Amino acid sequence: MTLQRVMHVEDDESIRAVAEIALTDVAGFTLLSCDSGQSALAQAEAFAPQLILLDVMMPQMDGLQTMAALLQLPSLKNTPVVFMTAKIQQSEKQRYLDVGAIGIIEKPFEPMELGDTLSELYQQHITS
Amino acid sequence: MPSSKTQVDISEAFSRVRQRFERSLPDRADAMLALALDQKTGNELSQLKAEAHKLAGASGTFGYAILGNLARKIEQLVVDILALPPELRALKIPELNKQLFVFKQTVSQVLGSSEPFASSDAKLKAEQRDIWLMLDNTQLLTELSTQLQAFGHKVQQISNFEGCIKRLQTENPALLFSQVKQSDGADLFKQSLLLNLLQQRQCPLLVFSEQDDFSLRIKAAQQHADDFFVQPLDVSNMISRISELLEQAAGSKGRVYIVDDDLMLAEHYQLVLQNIGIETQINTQPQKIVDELIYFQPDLILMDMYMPHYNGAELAGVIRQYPQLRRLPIVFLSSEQNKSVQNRALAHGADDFVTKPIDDLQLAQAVTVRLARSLQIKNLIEKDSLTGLIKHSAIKEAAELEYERSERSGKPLSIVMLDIDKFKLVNDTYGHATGDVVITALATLLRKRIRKTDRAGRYGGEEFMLVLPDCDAKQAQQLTMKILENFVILHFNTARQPFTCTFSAGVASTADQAFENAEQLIKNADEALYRAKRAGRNQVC
Repeated sequence: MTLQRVMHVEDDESIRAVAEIALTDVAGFTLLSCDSGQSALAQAEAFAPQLILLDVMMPQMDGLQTMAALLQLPSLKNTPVVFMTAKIQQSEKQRYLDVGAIGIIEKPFEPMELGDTLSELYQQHITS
Repeated sequence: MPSSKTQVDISEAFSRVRQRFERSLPDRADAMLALALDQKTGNELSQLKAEAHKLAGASGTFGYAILGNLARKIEQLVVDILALPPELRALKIPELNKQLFVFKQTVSQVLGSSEPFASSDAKLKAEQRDIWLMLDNTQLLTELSTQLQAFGHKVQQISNFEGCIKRLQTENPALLFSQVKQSDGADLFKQSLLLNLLQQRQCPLLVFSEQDDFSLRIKAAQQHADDFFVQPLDVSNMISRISELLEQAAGSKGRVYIVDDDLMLAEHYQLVLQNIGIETQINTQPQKIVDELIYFQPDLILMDMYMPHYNGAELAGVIRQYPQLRRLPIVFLSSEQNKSVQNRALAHGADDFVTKPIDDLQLAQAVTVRLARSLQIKNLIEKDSLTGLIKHSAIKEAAELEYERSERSGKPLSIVMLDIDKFKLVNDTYGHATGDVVITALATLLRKRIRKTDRAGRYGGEEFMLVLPDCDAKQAQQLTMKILENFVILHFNTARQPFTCTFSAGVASTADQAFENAEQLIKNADEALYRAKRAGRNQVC
């Protein structure tokens, strides 16, 4: 099974716009782009993503809180999560992996490669 | 197949998003500063942290690594401040404000790298300062005044040293052109007050002597005169030298690309160099060095010798593999004292060593000296001796570089080819010396009219080329028309009679159609030029 449906949660409008082009026009995914954890929660079940791409630092609900809330939804409980964040330390990275994220993408990211990176992470996840 | 959209659609879409981001930057920088300056609710620092964090992530994605690094630094600083007890936070606020100012300045610097055309006329007027002439030779004085005025310079005649000193108290000339004499007791070189004032004002000094005399030349050099002219004065050459000096004073002092794995240190070098007017960029990843060099076009590379992944000599070796980067001077920063290791690095393509640790003043001096020499050599190699414009091969290279940059940025690139009309007739009628004056005049006009980011080159005998990044066909046409309007009103004086000249020009732009490479774009501009010639000359097609 290949990656097709991706949900992206990010409060920065410009990053959302770049990711949207990268994931739809370049990678050919079906994308749901949300500007907050709350909005993601409201739409997630109906959209049924195969993978969730989450910004770490957002106002109100941050990435970790959003992840926890999303995975509590019954139909989403096994959905893999990838975090996206500005340069971080190794210990912090480990923390995200420990809570169950399958990967971390560092900002700045290369838009032309974002789709491929997610696909690879997704393949590794479902075959492991 | 993932999508029906073409590569062009996608890069256009990216470039629209990037432009939106760029447009938002000045406001976002101001908003951050406002948060730091006006802390009322106590929540401002958290907001500032969130905004800096966002900018840190987004800036890099849009190719502004410098802004990304600065934003990250600001974010870290806010985190540190928030960790302090509230009563101690105020102590750190000045440092935060300083960082935010640096960010704001850097924003206007990176965005301002291609200024809009509309401003260049106003800029020309606002920045124009007077040229002061202090000459005994009245015939020369009159001739020089007339010629300089024809190029749009404002000229003041100064009669003596006292008058000059008095006026220097309140006025700020663009440059002083003064006569010197060996025998004269009240010689210019004895006027230490006057010379001091000029230095303080950073006002260029050009001297003229009726005799070529070594001891006078030495004195001129001791007093930091910018040039020494001898009778008979080559007026057109002198005017282009004056334009060059004025452009130098107004423009950037050069660009330095910094490679150091220690980001803090690299940013420190950056601040030191920016303070003395040098543009800088820091390497983000060793793998991106060649791309970034092609994009930034530095005049010099400052590189740490020892870095964890690839050492300086290896990176220098890679840089030298690219023909267009082969001449770029590389200066190593290193604590290496061992001469044989230094020599080995020099053999691998480095040009010089600066020994670490180095204090700020030493760094500024070391870089300024090497940069000036590098620019001089570049000028000698690239510039046409008659016009001071870059030569055929260099302007073609510039077109290729700008073509690559435009492909990446998605911003349009325009090329203009210009050719002086019936130039052979000018040469045949008035002689080659007069022909050279016409060529120099057009060259000087071109240089004065274009933006800092544009390039003008002498493509052939009487043929010129302009490379105009971030400029569409309409803007290029307007600019060229303006230059033509200015050119046709110039009167060239000869023994026989004054005459005027015209030129024809052709414009091609990537905004209008897709080109496979720079060569095609140039060819297209050439074809447009021939259409202008066939349609009767004295026009832009």
